[in-house]
Amino acid sequence: MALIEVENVAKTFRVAKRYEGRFGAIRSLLAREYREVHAVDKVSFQLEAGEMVGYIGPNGAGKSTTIKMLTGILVPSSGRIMVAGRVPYQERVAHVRKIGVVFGQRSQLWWDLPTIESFELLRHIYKIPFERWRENLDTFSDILELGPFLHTPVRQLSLGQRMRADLAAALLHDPNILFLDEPTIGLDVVAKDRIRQFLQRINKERGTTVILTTHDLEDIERLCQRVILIDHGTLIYDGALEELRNRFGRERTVVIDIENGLPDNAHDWRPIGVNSVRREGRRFWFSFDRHATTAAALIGEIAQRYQIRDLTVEEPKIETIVRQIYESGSVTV
Amino acid sequence: MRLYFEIGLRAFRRATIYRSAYIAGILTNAFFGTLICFMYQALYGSGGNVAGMSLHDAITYVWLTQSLISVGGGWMSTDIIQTIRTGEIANDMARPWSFFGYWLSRSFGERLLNLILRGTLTYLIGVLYFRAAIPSLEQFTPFLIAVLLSMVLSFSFGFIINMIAFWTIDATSMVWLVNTIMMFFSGFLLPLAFFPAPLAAIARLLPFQAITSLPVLIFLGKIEDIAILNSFLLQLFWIVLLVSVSLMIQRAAMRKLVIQGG
Ligand SMILES: Nc1ncnc2c1ncn2[C@@H]1O[C@H](COP(=O)(O)OP(=O)(O)O)[C@@H](O)[C@H]1O
Ligand SMILES: [Mg+2]
Repeated sequence: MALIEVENVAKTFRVAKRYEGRFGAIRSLLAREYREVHAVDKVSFQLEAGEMVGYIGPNGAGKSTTIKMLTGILVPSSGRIMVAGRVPYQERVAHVRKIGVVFGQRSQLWWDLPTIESFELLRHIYKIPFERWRENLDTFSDILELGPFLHTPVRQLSLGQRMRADLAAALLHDPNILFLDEPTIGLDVVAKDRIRQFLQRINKERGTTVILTTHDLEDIERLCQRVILIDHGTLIYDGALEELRNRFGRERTVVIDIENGLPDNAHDWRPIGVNSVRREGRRFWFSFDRHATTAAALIGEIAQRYQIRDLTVEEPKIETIVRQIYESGSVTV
Repeated sequence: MRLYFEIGLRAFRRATIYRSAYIAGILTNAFFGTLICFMYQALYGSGGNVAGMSLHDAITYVWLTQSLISVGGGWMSTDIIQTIRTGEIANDMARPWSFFGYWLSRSFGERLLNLILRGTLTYLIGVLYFRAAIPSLEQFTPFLIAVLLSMVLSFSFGFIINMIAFWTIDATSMVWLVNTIMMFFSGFLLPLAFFPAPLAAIARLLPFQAITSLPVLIFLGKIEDIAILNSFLLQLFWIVLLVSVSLMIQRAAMRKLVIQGG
């Protein structure tokens, strides 16, 4: 039996219709018409213990709703969820004892108190033996560098510091499964990197199963072999990241700023393998197929013609991949 | 049990941080206390009793109720509603604890600090400037027990009202309405003794008088001896009833759970 089993799970929200204009509020109150939002629509997947899986999709795809059902704080409208042999919402207390949860956009720490106070409270909440708690806290402080702000009120922490503290908080009781909802949202590159390294270690050294939602493909690239992609509540891909990339993430864009002195035919020139060229002033966008040419070859070719001042290579965004999957008409892989 | 003590402790400590809010609160209570006392002084004129209360009783009554407001006497918070609206409640739901127990301990910690600091200082102003009564130990001990009971009672009532936010996301206006009703029928605005008979009869059937009026009357010595025991029993009756309803509503809400936002 898999650790996590999700079978035909759906969640439908009933949202009261709002009327606009004069007396709109009153009409909304009286009429009470509802609109159904299918946040999650017949999703099925299974996770084995020790996996680290990326649950990705554009905004509003249904990621958070899925996480809330898996953590037992939302009841599915239909379908079946089993986590470690339990139905999460039915045995909520037994279930949440064994899991760690981080909702990236809202902290589980006591806002006005020093960080350490929340950690100490967690010891009581999960009845963690003192020795074990101390050991974990030391390890996490080490890797995540919590030391400097353990005694600072949470409200004074930077977003990155707070996120690190929240991660530690979710792991102090040695959960078997860690649920992360957008753990890197709003963080700078350095903070993201530290969190990714930490997650990698936890997954490897402790065997903690990790499921993380994100709309940052780089998170997934660094952390997960497997991705589950959803959009509008339906699962559109479940498999290796590599495969997804090969099939749908082939397009890259080289963005180049050039020095002055453009040749006249700058508009027409299109190197081999390039699908489209766009130009604004001194900036060019060359979109190419990864299988037709490489970024290095393309940049070399461009450098022969123009003097390059600056360049970046853009990866496809999740939104682009989702669109391509729809356009290709292929849903199952 | 230890867990709930630790929660209460942190709530207590957290409340100590907001010093300026404390001072503002005390000044507000003192302002209204003074205003109402002037009114009573004018009404009572040269002396006499009104409905069994002397001017001195009335003044003590005013300062006591003002002191107890932040302990739960005439005011209900929207803390839980806030976490429902922001979605913060998701974190509190993902804990192996009793949700009711968590909020009860939190609220108890806060109210205890309010009682010790804000309540005492407000009352002290009443004692210094209006000669509000200083009770004997025999009056004070049962008073304190009654106040502690009233804290649980008023919390449970507030919990029920807050939980209604699970069904209607805009429950704040209802809290406002309920607060107004509670202020009136608890005896916070006016002693129940001054109520016209039919209104007083209604007040006695409602749980609110057990929150404010009963403890204050014990303090004033208007409830004595065996009647004190009866008054505790009445408070306990309401506590058992409201806690049971709280737990029932909690169970229903867990099934319903609509958590806002991503
Ligand atoms: N409590 C709710 N009430 C009504 N609609 C909701 C609620 N929560 C989420 N939704 C809707 O469900 C859809 C999926 O939301 P969500 O799971 O938060 O997406 P994601 O996390 O992928 O951005 C969205 O259309 C959102 O507006
Ligand atoms: Mg989300």
